[in-house]
Amino acid sequence: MSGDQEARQVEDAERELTRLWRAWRTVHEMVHDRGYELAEEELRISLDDFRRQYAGVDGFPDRKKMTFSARPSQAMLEKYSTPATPQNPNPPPPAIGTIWVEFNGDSNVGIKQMRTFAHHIAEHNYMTGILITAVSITPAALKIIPTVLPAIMETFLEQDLLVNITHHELVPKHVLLSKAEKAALLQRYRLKETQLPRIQVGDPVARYLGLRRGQVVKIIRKSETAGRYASYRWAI
Amino acid sequence: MSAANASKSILKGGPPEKRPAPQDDRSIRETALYHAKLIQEQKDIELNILEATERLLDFPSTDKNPAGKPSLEDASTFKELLKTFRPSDYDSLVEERNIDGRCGYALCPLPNRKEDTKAKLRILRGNGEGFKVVPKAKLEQWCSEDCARRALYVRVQLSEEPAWLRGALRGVVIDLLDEVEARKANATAAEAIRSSSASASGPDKPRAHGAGDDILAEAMKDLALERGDKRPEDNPSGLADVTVHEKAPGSEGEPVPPSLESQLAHLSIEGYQPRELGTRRQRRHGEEESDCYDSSAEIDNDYDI
Repeated sequence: MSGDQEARQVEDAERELTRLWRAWRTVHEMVHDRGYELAEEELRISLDDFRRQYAGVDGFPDRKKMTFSARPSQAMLEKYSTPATPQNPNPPPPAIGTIWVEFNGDSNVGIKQMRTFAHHIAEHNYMTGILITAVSITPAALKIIPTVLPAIMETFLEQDLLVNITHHELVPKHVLLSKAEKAALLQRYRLKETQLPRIQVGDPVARYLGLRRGQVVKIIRKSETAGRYASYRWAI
Repeated sequence: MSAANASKSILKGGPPEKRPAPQDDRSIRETALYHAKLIQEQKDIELNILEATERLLDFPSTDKNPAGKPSLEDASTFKELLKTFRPSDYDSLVEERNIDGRCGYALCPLPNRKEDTKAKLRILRGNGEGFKVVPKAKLEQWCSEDCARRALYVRVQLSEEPAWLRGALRGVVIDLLDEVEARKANATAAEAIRSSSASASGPDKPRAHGAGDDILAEAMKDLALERGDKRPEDNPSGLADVTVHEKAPGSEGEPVPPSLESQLAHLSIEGYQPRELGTRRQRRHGEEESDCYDSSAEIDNDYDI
């Protein structure tokens, strides 16, 4: 009987570990796709390596250990920088910096946990923090997010990260435009930005890319007639 | 009308377009500002509610007071903070406190009840026949039935309308269940005292009187606290709390030497110093003596007669 229980526990631990390994890989891909610098072996960690590094003594994954930070690459910094204009020869530095990713396995995530996370971000001067929780966060705790601006807190559920949605064949490629590219686009089509079609910042792909209000993404779809078809969306 | 318009050449041009006057611009700006202020107020109130929730997470400030007898300070802060709450905000406060392992009633220092099961639902026997299926989280909200009643008594007093639409908040008064019950008990006790004193020798007089005394003493203590008097138990060492205010030398001006005038001060009558008092008194004393002497002489004279 106890052997049966043990077997079941091992099975549970293995399932949990696999789940977290997939979430771990997806969040690494997400951070990489946004333009942060990550090593290749971090990005493509195998299940065995993951087990070796992050499994506890009982075989269950240890979420406390599952944290990492990444710095923005040069290309990303350029993408987020404001081009200098004659009116404004010294634009402010790009509002992007080191990102911090943390997993939380608590059975309830409320104000206390979110405050601790916000405090950790502020203390270490991270610009962005991503909290990945096993359960959904209480609505009151989510209200903390706008109070810690300009630091950005993003929250994801583990179950939402089991697969990388951008790898699905029905999800077209989304490319974030820099401010200069956005200005060129509006100039080319003689548009105001309000005349562009829109995308919500709560959209799954927008959340994946960490879009902010006012940014423009270029969406490249396959087209039977033209081969490729590009459209643009203004994040709102 | 439309036919006439259509027949007109488009090159001719209609009436000149109205350009918005600068005054229109200003009014538009004012309207925009008005709405922006409304939205800002709404954001401020929501932030307030969040801060109040965070404060109430750590309530009560001491573990000494049970939920039935919260300290006056905690109770008044609790009532003040809840003024902007809606029932949904109150529910999220309860949820947050439960996550923290506390009873959902913010004035209760006890941990919430824990059901010894991993199941999400529990089956309870209802009042009549039949069973009720209740989510486990609902059962774990409070530490006891009493706290549930207290907390829900507060919840039903909250307004569904958001605080930024309510206007003035001053009128909002939130009562605690215990206060209301104490008030009722006070009223009945006072009535009991009145009736017992009216029927001077009632058989149940001593007991009613005793209960009334207790409640009265409690009420007087609360009153004293409201006035700002210190409770005796605030000072367990029994020492008086004395603070000495030193007066700086020279702050009162130059000291004045006592004058001769002030030596006669004991003679003044409400600030009035009678003149020549001593002399007149002595004179009168002398007169009296001489009078006495005279009268005795007269009497003697009478005897002589």
